[in-house]
Amino acid sequence: MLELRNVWREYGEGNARVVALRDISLSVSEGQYLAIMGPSGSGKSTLLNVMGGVDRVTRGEILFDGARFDALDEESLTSFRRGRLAYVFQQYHLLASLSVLENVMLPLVFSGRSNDQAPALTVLEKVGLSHRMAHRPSQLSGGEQQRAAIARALVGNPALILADEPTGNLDQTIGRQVLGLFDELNREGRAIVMVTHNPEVARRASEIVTIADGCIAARDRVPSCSSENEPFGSVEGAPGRSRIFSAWNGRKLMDTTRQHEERRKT
Amino acid sequence: MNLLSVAAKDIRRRKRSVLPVALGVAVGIMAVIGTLTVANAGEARLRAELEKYGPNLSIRPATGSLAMHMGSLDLGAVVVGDNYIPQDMLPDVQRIADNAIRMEMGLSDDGTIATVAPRLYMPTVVKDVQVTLVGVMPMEERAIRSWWTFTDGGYLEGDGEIVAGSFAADALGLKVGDVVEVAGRQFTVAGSLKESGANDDYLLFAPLPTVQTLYDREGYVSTVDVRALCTACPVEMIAHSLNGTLPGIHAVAVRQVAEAEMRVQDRLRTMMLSLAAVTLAVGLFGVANALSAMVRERTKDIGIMRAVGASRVQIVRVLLFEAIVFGIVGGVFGYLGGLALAAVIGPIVFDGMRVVPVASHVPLAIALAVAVSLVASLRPSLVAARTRVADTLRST
Repeated sequence: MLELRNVWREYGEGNARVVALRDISLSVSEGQYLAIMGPSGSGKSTLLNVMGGVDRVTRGEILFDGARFDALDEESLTSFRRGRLAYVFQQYHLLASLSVLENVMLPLVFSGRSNDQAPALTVLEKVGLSHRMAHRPSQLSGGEQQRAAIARALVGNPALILADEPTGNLDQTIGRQVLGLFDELNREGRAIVMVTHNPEVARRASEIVTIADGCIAARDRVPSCSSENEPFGSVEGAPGRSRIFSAWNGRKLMDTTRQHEERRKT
Repeated sequence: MNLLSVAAKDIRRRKRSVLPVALGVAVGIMAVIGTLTVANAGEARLRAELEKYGPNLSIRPATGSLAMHMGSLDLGAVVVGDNYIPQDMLPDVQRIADNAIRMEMGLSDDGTIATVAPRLYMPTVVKDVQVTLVGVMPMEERAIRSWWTFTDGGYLEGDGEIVAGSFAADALGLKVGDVVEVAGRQFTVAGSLKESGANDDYLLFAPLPTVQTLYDREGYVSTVDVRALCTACPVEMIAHSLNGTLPGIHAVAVRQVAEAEMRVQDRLRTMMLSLAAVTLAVGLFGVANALSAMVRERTKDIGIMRAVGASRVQIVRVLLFEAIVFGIVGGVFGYLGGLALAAVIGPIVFDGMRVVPVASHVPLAIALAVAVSLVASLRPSLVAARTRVADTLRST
């Protein structure tokens, strides 16, 4: 579905030049659940932005269903993204002046379907926010705001959802509910790419890509086993994987990052 | 919901940010409307002043003269045609002048518009001094020569009275109340005119019917002055109509006065409009700054809209729609503020000026305000739309 080929992203010039992504090659297949992990500043969010076309690559290619979209101009890229991929942000990023329903309808408005309320009502029901659709974002809890943001991402029926630390601002209980929602969307066949620094969150994915210093430091398929007692594993039909994995993954991330740093120094 | 309602809801939410922008537009428009209103009132006042300068049109008998010579000897001239204008022609003069003014200015009333003032010039001898006695219609003459003032006495009221021009009064030693014999009839001096520098200074004035009777010229006048009582009156057209319609007369537009009036008005208007343009330009910078600040404040929202599928064109549209709203609000308040400003500064510039709201200034104010807002917001809107989504969201 989505393929990155030898992607580089650099900012600035001369001495101020910063390499955010180095020669990244990665693919996301239909219905895949991919987690991107890594320490702060490693390039996770940049990778997500590049995958979603909201940031440009310096070198390399990005293909969606075999079609290159990294070379499209801004307007064509915007059209290309509509209905194919959608974003969910850590900060929710809802427009404060609009109601929940209006926020969810925004992608429809921008794609020329201003009068088509039905998809917005459907996704609001799906995320359990029908009763709050007339409220302003400021009148909602953090979890409700994130569900509204997920509904907004879903309204265009995208095949790929890109989520940047979607539970980063939520407490554990609410975070579990939101992650359960992502699991459900994944079960429906949507591909999900989720940036997180939390191994507990990442282990819900089928594959974890660890980024360190702009490079892919590791790619791991997540072992498929479950436990009903784990903190993020037991709610709303989450596929559930072992707590052992969670601890393993956290250690692995640290080890991988350390090894990568040592390799770079030498 | 559509793009416009997205913009409208945002304006409602950001009342505090919106206020300086709308205020900036309003102040610029206030200055323009204030200037234009004062200019308008000043022009009306100037027009009234200019009305005093004299007739727009002078009608004389259509006489021709043929110079006679024998070698180098001048034998004088033979005058061809009548030296007088029949008085029964005056209603036609009035009608033709009124119709031409109505047609040119789009008026529909059927009242009298132009002032028609006939004069009958008769040479005479008073106290052994040769002077010219002029028969005038007192009311019409006074309307047309509104600048006449008296050093002594007042205007003609009865048919046995005369008014003396300043030099005539001095030369003849006339004082108010004196009784003087003119052409065998006793007249009482009603007043003496203040020196005006015109021919009137050398003349004696008496009621037209009296002079006509005295000199056996009933039904005739020497000249007719026409004052159209409007600055942009079509005097050339009136003269042309009169010459083409009425035989035996020659109507001449007093071009110099009309042209001078127009020049003064044009200069006044140009000066006022230049001032208005400067104030508008100053306002434009203020609005541009306020709008830039507001757009910067909205960077995050713009990034969100771009991330959820808004194209750059759609972002520019939302921001320009907001600018139009600021323009309309600023235009309305600017217009009202402009009237208030004119009421304050108008009387300082033009003594005793009355502020008269001009209906056409309302759409002008709104159109200007919208244009200013659009121009001011164009650059910040384009810059905002070009900003990369990743940058806008990263910075928040």
